[in-house]
Amino acid sequence: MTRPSNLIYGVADKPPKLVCLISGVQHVAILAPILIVPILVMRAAGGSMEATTQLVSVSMIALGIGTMLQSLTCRWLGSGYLISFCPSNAYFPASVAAVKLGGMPLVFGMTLIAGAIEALAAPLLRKMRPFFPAEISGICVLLIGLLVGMLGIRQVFGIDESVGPSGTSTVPEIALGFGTLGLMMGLNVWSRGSLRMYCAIIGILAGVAGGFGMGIVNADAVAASHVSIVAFPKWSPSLPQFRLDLVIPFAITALAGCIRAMGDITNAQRINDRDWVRPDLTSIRNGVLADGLSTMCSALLGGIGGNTYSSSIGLANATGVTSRRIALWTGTILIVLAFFPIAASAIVSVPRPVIGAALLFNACFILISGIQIVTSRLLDSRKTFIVGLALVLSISRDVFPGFYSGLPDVLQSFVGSGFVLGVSAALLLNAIFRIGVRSKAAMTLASGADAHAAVRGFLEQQGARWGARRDVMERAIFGTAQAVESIAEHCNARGPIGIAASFDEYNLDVRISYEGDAFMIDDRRPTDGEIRDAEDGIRRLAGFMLRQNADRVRTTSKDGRTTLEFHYEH
Amino acid sequence: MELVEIQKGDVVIMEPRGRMDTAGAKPFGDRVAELIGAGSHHLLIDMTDIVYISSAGFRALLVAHKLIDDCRGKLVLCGVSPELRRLFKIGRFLNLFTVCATRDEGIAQAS
Repeated sequence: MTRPSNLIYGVADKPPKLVCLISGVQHVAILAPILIVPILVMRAAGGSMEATTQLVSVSMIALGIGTMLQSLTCRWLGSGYLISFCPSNAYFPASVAAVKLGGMPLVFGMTLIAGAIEALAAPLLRKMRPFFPAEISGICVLLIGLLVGMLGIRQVFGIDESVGPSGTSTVPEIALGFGTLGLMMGLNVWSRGSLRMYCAIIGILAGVAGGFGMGIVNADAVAASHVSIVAFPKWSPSLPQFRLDLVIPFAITALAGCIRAMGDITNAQRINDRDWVRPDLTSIRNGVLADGLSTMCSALLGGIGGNTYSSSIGLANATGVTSRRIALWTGTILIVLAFFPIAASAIVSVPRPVIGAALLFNACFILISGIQIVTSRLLDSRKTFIVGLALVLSISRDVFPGFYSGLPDVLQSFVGSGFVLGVSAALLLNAIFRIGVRSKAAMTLASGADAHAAVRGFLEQQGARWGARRDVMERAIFGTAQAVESIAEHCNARGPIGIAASFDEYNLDVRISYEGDAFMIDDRRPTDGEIRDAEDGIRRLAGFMLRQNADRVRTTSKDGRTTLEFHYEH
Repeated sequence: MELVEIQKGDVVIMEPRGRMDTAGAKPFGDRVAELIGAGSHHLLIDMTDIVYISSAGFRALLVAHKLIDDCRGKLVLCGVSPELRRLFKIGRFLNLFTVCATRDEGIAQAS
């Protein structure tokens, strides 16, 4: 991993404590807009202001735990990146449906199931890798950018679908929103050091001060201002409830959360590595597991479902501080703030246009990251259709909502939001386009031929034709040349040696077959003395190196014909 | 495989060129043995022009290392490309050989 030059503190760096504290506060501040999601769910349940404040407080504990889990670098848990955990918009429709059918206990029960589904999906991601290529991760990030941007526009202009398509914001509110956005952008573009690093929180604080001066105050904050300063968050003792008919909407939401987490973690990997080539699936698997467990933790605490917070990655990139240490500070600050109900109401008190400005600011970075991930691969006709159609379908959901809401009930889970529709379309098209994607080529090596030159020429030519990565082809060239050399020297090969190579974007397989003695692949490296002095030292070293060189090796012998198969992940 | 030799002080710099495989390893090993027999106990092997090394080539290097060790001399490698370094790594030879980034550094190490 090579740190990009625009980062002040990379993912593994340890910034000074003051930087950690201010950055942590900044990450908590940008979570303010999204804390509206549990409040809206509680409103749908007809909960009291006290219950709403309690829900925000327990949500903050869950967010703190989730943010810290995500930053872990354990073998099986945590992506290792600074990505905040947040209440997810995606869970809003399903949670509202659940709260109307069975109250908050049903929301908690179904959220528990959704978290478990996401956690269980994590170990399967490696095998499913061809179905989640870079362009789909990029589409996820791109659509999340659009989602966040649209949410920002709604907040600035006061557009609420339940009220009508027109904006309700006054001119001063719109001016406050764009003034805040202008300040954030100006600091980010024209300033350096601390001002650039803290441009988001400076913008939010200036926006809050400006709003106060202009008399623009959030009504929720006024209503919640009577709460006590310090209080232990109450844990809901009610047992979770479950309903079979809600499993599908929550399962689809969990899958969307899984894809979103994949996109977010991919984005975090990309902004932290100048030489980023492809998603690191171990980090993604561990991060998705952390995301699922965090949602389960949120449900157990009495909160609603959550997901990785794309805006936090946008903020980290914009400020140049991506250290995973910030996640520990952010998590700790959130947990501590949960014991101060006044803090929850202060977070909610950020005026709506200021929230919108922060969302728009982050959306720009998320969108560009998505475009960069999409275009990081050569876009052949398959990928062109996947990206193009997914994007058009996703946007069409918000342009023609009436058409989509009129579709049969069975499809509503897929067309309920532009994000899910776009990602579902991309996944489906990618699965269809897997047909016929594998390319094959073969050659025969006559005995006495210059084997190394022939192998190198054949594989280099095919690698160039397939657009295969140079480092993977070099491994295949060594493996094939070494195997052919050993077969000729130690296996009494009779007749020509056949070499067949097959390739798709994720796999390179080389198959060598010959008539002669079986080829021994060793797991144990011979000692230096054995390599030097034993009669079979060179052969055993060759077998050991071939085992280490490929991701998977298989040998089979039948009727005097031996086949060696080398698999390389691409 | 072609072999070029340069004497620099008490260090003999060997430049094997081409492939250090079954065919190339033998002349290389024979020449190293001759040099040591003739009293050259400080060898720098510049691997810049090696395009391929197989298990036979690694054995030749191991034998050279042992011969030099036995006469308390020094064997140093330089010009190891990233791909060659990867092969040294998967064969677990990196800890055995002294590998220098540049020829000058290699000469200093071998002296």
